[in-house]
Amino acid sequence: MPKTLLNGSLAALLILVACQKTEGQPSVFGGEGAKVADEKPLPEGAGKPEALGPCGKPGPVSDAALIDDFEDGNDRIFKAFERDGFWFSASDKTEGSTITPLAPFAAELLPAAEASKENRYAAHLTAAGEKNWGVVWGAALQWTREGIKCPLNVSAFAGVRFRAKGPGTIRVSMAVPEVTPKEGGGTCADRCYDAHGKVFLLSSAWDTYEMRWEKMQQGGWGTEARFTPERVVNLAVNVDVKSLPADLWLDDVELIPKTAPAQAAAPAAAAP
Amino acid sequence: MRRLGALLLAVCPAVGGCGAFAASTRRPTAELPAGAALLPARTRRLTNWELERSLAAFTGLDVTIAQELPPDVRQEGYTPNVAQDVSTAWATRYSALVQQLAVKAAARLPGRERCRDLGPDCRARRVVELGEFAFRRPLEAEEQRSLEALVSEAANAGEGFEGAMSELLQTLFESPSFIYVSELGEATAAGTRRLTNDELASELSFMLTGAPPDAELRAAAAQGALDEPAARAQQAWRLLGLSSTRYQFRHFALQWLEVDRLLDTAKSSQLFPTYDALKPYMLAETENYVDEVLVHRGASVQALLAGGFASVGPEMARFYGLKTYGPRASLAGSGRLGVLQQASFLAAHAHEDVTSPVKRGDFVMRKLLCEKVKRPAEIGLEVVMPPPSATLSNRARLSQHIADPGCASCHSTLDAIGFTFESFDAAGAAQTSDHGHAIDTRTQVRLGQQATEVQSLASSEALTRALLENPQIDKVSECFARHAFRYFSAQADPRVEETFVALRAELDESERDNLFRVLVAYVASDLFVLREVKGT
Repeated sequence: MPKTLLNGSLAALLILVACQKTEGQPSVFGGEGAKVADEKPLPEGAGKPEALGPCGKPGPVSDAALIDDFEDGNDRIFKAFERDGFWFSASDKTEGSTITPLAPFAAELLPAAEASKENRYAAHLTAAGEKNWGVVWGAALQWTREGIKCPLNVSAFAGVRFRAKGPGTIRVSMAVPEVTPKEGGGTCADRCYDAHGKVFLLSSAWDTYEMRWEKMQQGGWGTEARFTPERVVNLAVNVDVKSLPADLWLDDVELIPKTAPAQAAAPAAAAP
Repeated sequence: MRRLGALLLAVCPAVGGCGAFAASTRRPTAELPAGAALLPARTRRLTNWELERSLAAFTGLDVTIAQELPPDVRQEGYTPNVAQDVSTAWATRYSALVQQLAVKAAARLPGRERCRDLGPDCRARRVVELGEFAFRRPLEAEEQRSLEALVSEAANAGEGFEGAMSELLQTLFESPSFIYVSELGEATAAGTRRLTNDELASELSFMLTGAPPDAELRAAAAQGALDEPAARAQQAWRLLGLSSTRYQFRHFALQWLEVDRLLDTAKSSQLFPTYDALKPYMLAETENYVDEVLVHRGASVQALLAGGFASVGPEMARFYGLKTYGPRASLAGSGRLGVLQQASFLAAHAHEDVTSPVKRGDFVMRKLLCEKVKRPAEIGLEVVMPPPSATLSNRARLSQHIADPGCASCHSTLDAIGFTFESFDAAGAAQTSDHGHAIDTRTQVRLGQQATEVQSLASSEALTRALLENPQIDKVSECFARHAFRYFSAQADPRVEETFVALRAELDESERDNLFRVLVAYVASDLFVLREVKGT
């Protein structure tokens, strides 16, 4: 150690440290150091305490495609790395109306003719008699770490795919925090629940349906928001009053890898 | 329960108890000095995190079991160690978790369509393919027979391909050969044991990546190439070059700094209302800083202690009062220099409501100077903490207990070091006053029990600089290497540590302080390859 450092020149110390020998050493960790945004001046207001929080920026990208195949028979989505969520259902509670499953949400054994060794369960959704806004079944989607729950980052995927059987008309949607009220894990305070989605006409046979992010639109009646796959809080299947009563089956809900080719002819309706 | 019972009972009890390993041609490497202590021949239960990485590598699925298992036992603060056991609680939880995983993994086995009939050829192929990957070595004939029988039994019971594969996977996941890594080796003429190529591959991979050997390393082992020091060194550099290897070194750094459980800490919400929200960012800063230093600044303790920059986003930049954020945001004028002034370290070494000069000083003594600090119980002292005070600063309050001669023998040094950090509060933020008193970080201290010079230090920056100057720098650098060795060799035997220190001392001065070069030198040495049998 040079004598000049003995009395503590910080600059000299930093130069010394910066010149530590890395020459000749093979690259480590793929040559990637800190994964922090490139150096920038700190903008006014950035990182203010009130803007902070574990959900202030997107969580890590989810890399598990399967949301749920219902084979575990419970109300949790398929658990994957730092991912959690549960199925829920709700109706407008018109007097005399019915909805199943309500709570707890439980998958149902498929009829023997439709079941196989690998596929025994699916979600069986029925509802009748609602006269206000209808019914919704859905799954909360969360990134959790050390008990902190935040929106899920599904930006590695191109959309959602599922198998379903009707007949019936459903609107499948994915909500971002801006259209979700606080009690649902969002930030919306007014005209909430107008999530981005797409309408599907289900046939009476099992079919696979796809919803790609770029094809999704809001209903147009609620708070306007941009769909950001980096931050989604739930996936929902809505049936409005015109499409009731409903007797539907849903299975194998999964995210579509970006590399997957688009489905040739998705049986979807024109409305968003 | 059949598997669980096997899991509980099947801890390899003695040398040679865990099955055969492929024999290979050996060429001797340079001998260690006579009488040099070696690591013991042993089996080691993988840590929860290593098991998680093993299961993820095996299944290709995102596996998150580490946090769901009973926590690992720590030795010297580090989780990789031979004290990990398989308690009933651990085994029960692990069994339940891998049962679910086996079902998922069986449904996703690649190429399963080619083999749905589960005929004899298919069974044998599947068992060998999956068994060798799981056990990280060729299967013994008896192992193969029993695993094939298990698949047949499941198939005959009508469980189908996925049911049978699920049974097989669960059995493999719960097998001791999967859960334990073997360092039993084969007998040598000198009375020591020499690790087999398969064992060397596992040891090398778990040590450097925390994960099982990849295909290239397994191939090298199959060819017997790992007997050659140069081949081991080449594989070590290859593994260090992988991006995912950073997670193992982050694990080490966080455990060395004692910040790895930061997210479990709590602070007074009245005094530190933003602490909970900031904890993830504090931890991320340390992880990113470690990455940046190890990749770009030379993997030395000097660089970790005195990088002069922070790897932060806007949240931590504002918390620190910096003008910029980014991978190397300048810390000039902030009173911070490196890991010792990071919020994660400062918060982890503090109480819920007030700083702890004792904890901060204790860290410097134990982890940077490798000085043994006796606990009060070891010298028969009953600890009576100074009472809370509404008027005294924390420093003044603690100074009262240093006045006690019984406490002063240790605390005059510990606290004096810790006082230099008083410019940072219990959550790691800068503070200028304490109970209305201006913060005083000046101190006079001997850095180590053998130190003769009393140093006057004005701040924790000055302390850091003093640690990196002669004569402390050699001690600090060696101490860091000792801790790295404890983590990466998964043991804490002081005798073996001396062999390692002697090995390190043989390196050029320029290489001695580079963690990667030291570890590769260890990998290429006989210390990595040879084991001694306890009692010989």
